[in-house]
Amino acid sequence: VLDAVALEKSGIRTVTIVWDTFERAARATARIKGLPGAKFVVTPGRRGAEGVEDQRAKARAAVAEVVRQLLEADPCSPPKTARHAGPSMIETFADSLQIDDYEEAVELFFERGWTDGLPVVLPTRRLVDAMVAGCGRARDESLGPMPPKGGEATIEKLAVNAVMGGCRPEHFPVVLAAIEAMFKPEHNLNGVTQTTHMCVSLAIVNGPIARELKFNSRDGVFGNGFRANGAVGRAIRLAIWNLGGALPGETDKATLSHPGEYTFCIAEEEEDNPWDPLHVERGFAPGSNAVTAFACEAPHSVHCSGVPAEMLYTLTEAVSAHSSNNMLYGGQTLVVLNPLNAEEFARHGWSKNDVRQYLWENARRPLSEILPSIVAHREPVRKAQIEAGRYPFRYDVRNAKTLVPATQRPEDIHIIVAGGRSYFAAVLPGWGAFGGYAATAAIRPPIR
Amino acid sequence: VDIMIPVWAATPSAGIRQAPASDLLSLQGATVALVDDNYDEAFTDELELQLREQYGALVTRLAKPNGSHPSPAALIEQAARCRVAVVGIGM
Repeated sequence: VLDAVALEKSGIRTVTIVWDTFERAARATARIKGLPGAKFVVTPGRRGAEGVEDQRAKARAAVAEVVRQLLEADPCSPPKTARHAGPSMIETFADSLQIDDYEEAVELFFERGWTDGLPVVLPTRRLVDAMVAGCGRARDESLGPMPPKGGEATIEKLAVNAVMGGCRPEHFPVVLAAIEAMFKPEHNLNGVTQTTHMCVSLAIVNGPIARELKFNSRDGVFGNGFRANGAVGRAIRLAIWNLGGALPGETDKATLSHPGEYTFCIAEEEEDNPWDPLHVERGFAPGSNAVTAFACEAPHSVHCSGVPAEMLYTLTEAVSAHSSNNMLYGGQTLVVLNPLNAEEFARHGWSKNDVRQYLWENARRPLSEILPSIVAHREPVRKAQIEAGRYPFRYDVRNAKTLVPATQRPEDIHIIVAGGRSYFAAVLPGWGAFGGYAATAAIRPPIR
Repeated sequence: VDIMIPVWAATPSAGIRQAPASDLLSLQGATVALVDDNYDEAFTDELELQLREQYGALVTRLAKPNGSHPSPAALIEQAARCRVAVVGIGM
């Protein structure tokens, strides 16, 4: 529908064909992008064992309506009402309101849809001003429009959301870097916030700032108990909620999502770690501070202990898990080794790249094991695409013995070290080849 | 207490003036941009066929590099050279 908006701006009458699953998201996006009269033809999304003939029949059923709307003079039907009221946009340009009653103010944030379902720290002007002053950036500087609906992510609005999430001013530069990383094109935050897949953008903090600000990188790293992880993660999510307007069932089409949608931020353990940390691997100077965003599922536990061969056995199985988007569509994945795992690998002479290469070469499944899954009913379509020379494919569908790797390239397997010294690692599968890819941004030093 | 508002001050209705239907009475001989997002190729193939054969349209089919991402500016420019456009279908 963003294409339709761009084309209508150029004066071209455009009809958008949309699967029923995405109808509300498409109408909401059109409305917020200034095209409330966008023209839609809704067609049933994929269901059951749909083949080429079924798709052709759907097209034949839709074509008359497509043509009618291309030629009609009047705007189409008005948009439907969303299930969740969501953050209500204000009609005035006031940036604050006066409330003297604490309980009333807390409730107001729920009533207006200005919070994600949990209570917030009230963003008083004094706290917000301190947040803005601490980062040393102009109040009205914008990092860009926040997907999906495109509210401007100004320093001030991000500061309001950072206060609400529980941040102190020293945490704010980490929030800004995380948003800057998520705004990089390869991360495709617009898609991540709207997909039916359950990925959520994880923020991984690297550098000395992680220790200074007491981010947890050890036992229970994905869990609770640490203000820096909790508050920075929640500030990011609140910013996406309030500025992006990613509403469940409307613009946010995540079928199930996961609890990381409240807060999803960790630090890498860099001291108890024999290898280069993530940001250094990604081209940032040792000793510098950076945040890497990666859209992924919740952590999947992997029993991982012993010598390298034992650890690699279970890791390989987990990375090539059936039914993950990685196994079906490629993309990127994240492996979190605990410090004891990393120490054992290093003690046996394994570099991080050795582990990565091994996983890439071995975390594979024969096509015959993948075809019975949802890909099966699309096989004729894929075959036709290959024959037509259409977009690149990861494997040859004509050979059932082809070993399909979980990611297109070894470097698409990200490996970090975090957690307690114990017997478990984690795999966090990505969105597949649709985006959500790792993107890193430097943390600008805060002004003290 | 002065409480700051966390949402953006948007005016969504002050948006784009929708393109007029121009003077097209039919698609016979008209140029139609068909922006293909690579979802359900057979659907798009059939739609293209119908627009051509049943309605006499001159279809320019443009494939998006990534169906989960807006089209690059160059593709939009190319599509905008046609009289009308059809986009979709996955997202």
